[in-house]
Amino acid sequence: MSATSGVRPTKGYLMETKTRIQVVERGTEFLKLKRDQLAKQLTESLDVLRGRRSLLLKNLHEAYSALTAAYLSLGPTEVQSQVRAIRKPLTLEVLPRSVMGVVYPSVRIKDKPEIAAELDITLAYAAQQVFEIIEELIHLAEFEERVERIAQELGTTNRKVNALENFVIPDMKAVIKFIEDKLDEESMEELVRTKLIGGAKSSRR
Amino acid sequence: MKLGIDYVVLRTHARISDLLDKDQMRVLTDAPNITEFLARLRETPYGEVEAKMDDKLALNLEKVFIQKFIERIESIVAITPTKMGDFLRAYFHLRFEVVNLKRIIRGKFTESTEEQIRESLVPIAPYLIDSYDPLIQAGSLEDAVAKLKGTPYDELYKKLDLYKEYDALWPLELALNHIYASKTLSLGKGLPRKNQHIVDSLAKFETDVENILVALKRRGAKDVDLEEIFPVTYYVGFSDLQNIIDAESMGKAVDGLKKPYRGVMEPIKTGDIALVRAMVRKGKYETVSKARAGDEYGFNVILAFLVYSEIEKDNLVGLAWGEVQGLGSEELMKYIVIPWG
Repeated sequence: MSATSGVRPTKGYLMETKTRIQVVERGTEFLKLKRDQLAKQLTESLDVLRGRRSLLLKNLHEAYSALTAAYLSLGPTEVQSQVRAIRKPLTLEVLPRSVMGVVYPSVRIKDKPEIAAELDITLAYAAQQVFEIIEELIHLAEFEERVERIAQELGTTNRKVNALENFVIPDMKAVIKFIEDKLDEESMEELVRTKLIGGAKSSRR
Repeated sequence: MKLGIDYVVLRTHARISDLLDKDQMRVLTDAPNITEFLARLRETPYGEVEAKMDDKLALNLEKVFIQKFIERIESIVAITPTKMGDFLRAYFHLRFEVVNLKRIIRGKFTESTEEQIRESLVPIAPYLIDSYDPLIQAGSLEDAVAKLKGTPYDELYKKLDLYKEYDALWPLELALNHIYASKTLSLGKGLPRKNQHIVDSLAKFETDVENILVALKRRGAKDVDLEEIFPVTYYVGFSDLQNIIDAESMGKAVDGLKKPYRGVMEPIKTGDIALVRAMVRKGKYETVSKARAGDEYGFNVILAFLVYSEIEKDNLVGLAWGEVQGLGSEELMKYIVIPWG
């Protein structure tokens, strides 16, 4: 279906469409700015994410080694028994945060387990390392979610900009041109009609 | 039947040959998986080891190795002259009883089920108390500790206030360590004078090391009540322990220690804290080996055999867990104390 089908070729509609296209063009500019900012954020975030991931893998390896060493030194039953003595669990609070209109979950550690008091030093050291990894994992998960949502928003914004630039604005311009042509045609007809009537009147005199 | 010391020493010498030597331990460590590990273990004096092949295989094997170790203790203690036998029973049975009491109070602290607590216990009969059942069945940790009133573990009851004040188990666990150390030393006094030195060395070494580890854990803490935390100290006194707590870094804390403790704690400087436990075992191994070398026909040989057996048990428990986890032999060897042989 063409963009001009069903269009009322009136001056009022032309004015209205011209106002709308101005708004749409300004909106498109804003969306382009948002898209550029989101793309910048995404590029920066991906670099950070790569760095954080490789650091996490390194720390994860160290924590696993410490935990392995604790198991080898104390034996699995003793490790399980000591770990059972940690009463205070890890408590998290998840709150929504927003960057450029992109809402993502922000995780805050409310309560940390008291590791040092109840564990053998070997296990306390391993547990401390594992806990640091958990903290890193939580922050990394939050960051990954943020990056994913920015990427989704970037995709959506890009599609909107493309739709506006390639379809909505050209269609509106076509409508404007259609109405202007129609109005020009009508005014030309009106002029011819006026001239003809004027000519007929003067020949009658 | 109690027999003369010479007979027991002879029997012990024979049994020392049953211990796994370096090569056998290396063969076990090199096993590519747990199935092969068990197959290789079959070729040793341990023979066929029966353990349920489920997801708790490492725990099941730990129980088997502990059981084998207990059988070794029993077989020696049963024929050892009364005073020495009593000491050996106290040294090993009391150690396991203290381990079990710690596991019961940990279970009660976190309201674990009776089954969970029973599963965590070392399968050995109680030594100074009649039964673990009333403690396991107690409604709360306070009730369980109250049931120890009037037993040799009465000190725990006195530490209940401290437990409530800090809402932490360490006052009770430290009290148990204290009971174990003092009881072992007092029983050691009943031994012939020439055997007392080795007992003193072992028990005091263990207590001092535990005190150092507790102090390291509290490094940086302010206003630490040393008498409360360290109910008993030997060669590492309050001033040494205070220096550890006040040390700027782990490395400085270790450097400030005297021999042999500095050597034992050395791995802490490289961040390998778990290796300290292996070093403690190594320290005990060297202490009893030295004592055994000084007297090949006395009590030292019996004690050395039991300490070697305990180290072997710890090695096998660690190896079995490592094999179940699929760890490489290099990683496993790091925490294994090179055995006798």
